[in-house]
Amino acid sequence: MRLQITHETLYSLTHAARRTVQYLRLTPRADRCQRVESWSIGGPERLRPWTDGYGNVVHVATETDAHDSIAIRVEGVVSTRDTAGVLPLDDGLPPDMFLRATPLTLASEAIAGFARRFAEERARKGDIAALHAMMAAQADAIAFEAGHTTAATPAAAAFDKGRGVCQDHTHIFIAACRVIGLPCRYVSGYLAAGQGDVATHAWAEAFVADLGWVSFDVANRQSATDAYVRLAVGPDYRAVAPVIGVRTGGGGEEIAVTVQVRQVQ
Amino acid sequence: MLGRAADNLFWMTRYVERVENTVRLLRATALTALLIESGGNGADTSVWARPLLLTGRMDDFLARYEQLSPGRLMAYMLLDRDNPASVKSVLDRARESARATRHLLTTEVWEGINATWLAITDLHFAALQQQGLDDRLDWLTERCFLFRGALFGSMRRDEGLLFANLGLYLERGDHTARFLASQPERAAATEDPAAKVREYYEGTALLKALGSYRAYRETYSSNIEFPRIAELLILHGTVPRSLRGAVDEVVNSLRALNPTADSLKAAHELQYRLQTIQIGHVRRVGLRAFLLDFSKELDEISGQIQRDFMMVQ
Amino acid sequence: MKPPVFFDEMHSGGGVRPAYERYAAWLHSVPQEILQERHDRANSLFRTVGITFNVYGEEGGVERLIPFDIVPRILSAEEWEIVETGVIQRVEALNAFIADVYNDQEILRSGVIPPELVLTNDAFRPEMLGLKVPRSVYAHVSGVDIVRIDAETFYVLEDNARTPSGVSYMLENRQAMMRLFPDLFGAHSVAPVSHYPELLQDTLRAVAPRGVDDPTVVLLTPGQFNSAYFEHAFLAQEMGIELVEGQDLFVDDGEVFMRTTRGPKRVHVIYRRIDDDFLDPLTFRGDSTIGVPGLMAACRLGRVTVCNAIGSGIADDKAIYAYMPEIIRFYLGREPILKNVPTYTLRKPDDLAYALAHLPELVVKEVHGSGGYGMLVGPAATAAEIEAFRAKILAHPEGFIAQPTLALSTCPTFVDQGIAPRHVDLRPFVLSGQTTRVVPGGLTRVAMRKGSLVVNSSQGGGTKDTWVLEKPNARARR
Repeated sequence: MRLQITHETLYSLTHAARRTVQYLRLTPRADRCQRVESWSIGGPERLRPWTDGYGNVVHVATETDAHDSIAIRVEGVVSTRDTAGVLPLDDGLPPDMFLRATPLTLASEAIAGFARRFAEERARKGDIAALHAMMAAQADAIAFEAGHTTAATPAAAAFDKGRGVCQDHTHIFIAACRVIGLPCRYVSGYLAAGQGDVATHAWAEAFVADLGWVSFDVANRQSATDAYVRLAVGPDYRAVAPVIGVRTGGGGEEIAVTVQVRQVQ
Repeated sequence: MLGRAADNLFWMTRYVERVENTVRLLRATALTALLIESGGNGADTSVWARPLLLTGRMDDFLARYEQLSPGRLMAYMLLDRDNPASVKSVLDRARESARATRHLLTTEVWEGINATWLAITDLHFAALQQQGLDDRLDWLTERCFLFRGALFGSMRRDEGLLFANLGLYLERGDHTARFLASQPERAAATEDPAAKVREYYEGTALLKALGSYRAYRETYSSNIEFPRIAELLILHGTVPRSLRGAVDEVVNSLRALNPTADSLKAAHELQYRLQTIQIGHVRRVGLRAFLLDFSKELDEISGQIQRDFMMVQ
Repeated sequence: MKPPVFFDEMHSGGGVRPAYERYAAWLHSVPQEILQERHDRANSLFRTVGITFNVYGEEGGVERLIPFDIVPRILSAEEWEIVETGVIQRVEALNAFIADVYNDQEILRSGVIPPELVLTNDAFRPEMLGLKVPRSVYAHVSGVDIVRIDAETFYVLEDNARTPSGVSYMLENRQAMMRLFPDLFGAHSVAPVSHYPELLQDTLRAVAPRGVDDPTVVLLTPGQFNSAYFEHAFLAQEMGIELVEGQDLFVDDGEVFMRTTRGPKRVHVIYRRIDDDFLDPLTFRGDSTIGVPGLMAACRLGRVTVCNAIGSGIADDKAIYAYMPEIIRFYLGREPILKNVPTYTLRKPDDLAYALAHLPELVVKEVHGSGGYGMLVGPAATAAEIEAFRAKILAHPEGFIAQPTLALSTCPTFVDQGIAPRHVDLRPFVLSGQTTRVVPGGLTRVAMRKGSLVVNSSQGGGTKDTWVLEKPNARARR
């Protein structure tokens, strides 16, 4: 599939900030399942690309003069390939390091209780079957509903609420995988169609021995297809957030995001 | 150098200068009280209120100490940590600033200020009285001189010293201006002998409080008269505690730091005003208004220095 | 039960040991009053100089003096050679290990260390994966804690590869001793230590980003309320570099600058005394106000070198410690010179069972603890303390290791009752830049309480000057 993507983020402030430093993880990864044909990123005064420890392309953006808005615009064309939701282990990231809990993916007793039900299934029918069963059960248990959680909501809190968005689904899934001993990581990206966050999408990738990283989009009850574009991977949302920043001064922040993902010839 | 380091050096000297000024103020207050008493006018408690009025601490003092007495005033202005204007509080901040720039100070400067702080930090008023109040106040003044001696005698002549110098003279100019402004309005000289005596005693105390008694004697052959005291302390650049002397130092330091700084322009204007004005003009516009305006100008220069050099965000 | 016999640095082996010969003669001839007077002078000296540390958990940043003992700890040239070659070997292996785990991970693939021990370790920082740091050095400044149990045997108790502190005490203790006892220095050839700051500066300059000939080096401190602030200021002064706080630095276009009186100035090397977690709020803890937003980017772009490197803590993790002999063999192909204390890793069921059965004999430490907090010294603990600790272990066994209690050597120490033996350890400071070096000596810490084996300053430990005697003609050669 060839996908044309336009993604704009506008931060407006009622009081001007004196400085802002941001990390932008807004460049598609060079992975087996996708090829970047063209990509541009612009807006902030100064942008410098670098690569983080997970192999994500990050831009460090700095505004050093007083400013009351920052507009970030990325656009480009990515051609994708359906890999049946499986990616080989060739990105240099040892799976075991995703067994570490982060504040956002810490498993509560409730999550552990939920996940343990699938440990037995894992022993009986194998990893893939157990993971799919767990995805289905989680999608049933946690309603997809915006407005109840934020970017800072940990898996445990979202699980207790029983609702959340794709980010919460992903965090819960990662926590649950750790409980049954499977490394799992967070993927942020775009989705050409289907239910998802209005802005960008997020899903999980669990590591299955002898197979590789297998994707699980709990919100849509499916593995990734060629409608998915991967931006960044990491242990949780904080590590892969499309935009994370610190500003000095300023206040009254509002964010407006528009995303368009269109299939083109 | 680091902007924050410059800021700390600036405040270190400002605070030490403030310690000295406070000590001088308390000594002068005691002296005035004594002179007035022996001058035959009887006890005058309003003299003891002056340090509180000058530092704006009257309300806080009365709230916590109820009644004004010489002992309470001394305890409050010297050793009360809850009074931000007390010698102990100001010395705390001086030492904090020094500690923050410990790596830029010579051993002599740091150990000097640290030893002074160590001697005061746990001191209580009873112990102070036991040691002898006058002796300890003399000692503190000496420590401030020692500090400046160590500063100018051992530090490298570079930016750091210039910022220290700025802090010293901005504080000094500000203190002299506000101290003069706090003096009661004096009527023009009268022929009344009792008033003359009073003028003599109070004028002497005032000059001593600003360390300028000798300077007055050397400059004027006349008796101690208030208008001349004002002239001396405002316009005579050779007097170390005069406004003109302070502004000259500020201008020189800023010029050495950056000849195009906005703070230098402001300091220049203030210097020009002191160069061209005559004491008669000052008296016509009102001495107090003039002095308070001067103090405000210094404040603005101080703020501009922060913006020019400290990269304040 | 017979009281344990400890090796004494001055007296063991029948009579005075050779390194102490002259000193012991002097010590036995000097009246108690003189010692008391020197002791008091030392205290006032340290107070005036302002060598204090701030005590955590006490109101208003209380400043305390670390007790200084006027009796030096003396090592002969031969003894020092063992320690010196031993710690250099160890630190070289540590650096090779850190470089490996953040790049090729050969040691994990070879099975020498169980991969999960590194990969699931909180001290492992995936943020550093694949980053090439200058000269492949990660731990530029390391402190290796060494104890001795007899004339020949030195054990490494732990490695400190994050932000080890204490070197200022090594330097100030020497200064104080030279002022208090000038004659003793005339009678002994004590190897100098005062050039440490110069070596440190050399080390930091040697790891500047590529292409920078005259790097600007700064020392990053959490601020003046940090317990080691005195040391930060001291080292910055000795090296003539800026002492900066996070607020003094900023990142612009992937480069680090400091705010100076003449505008922004580029910074190339940051000797940081702040933990990883607080360095960059955009990468690590978002609530850190003492770090520099964007620092990770500058670091990965190779525009700035952070010393010690982010993630070097993986090397001093107490769970990794158990594998140090293997690590030395793996990277250097040599036998370890210094011994490792046998370590029970309580995440292993066998080790856990053993430890629980032998708590009164063992020292149990938290894997991620430091400073003597969260530690059980079995032989010195009450039954109730042991039971309380047992519960802590059972709740979270993977968080602990256990070691046999070592018979730490003692050294004569001036205490209220006069001269008496007290237990000591030794922390030499190892610098890794172009080469790996160590100044002769280090920080000798002493447990001031009779019988105590805990030397940490936070637990009432004191310090001593450490003398390394030079070989007879060493002086002429320098």
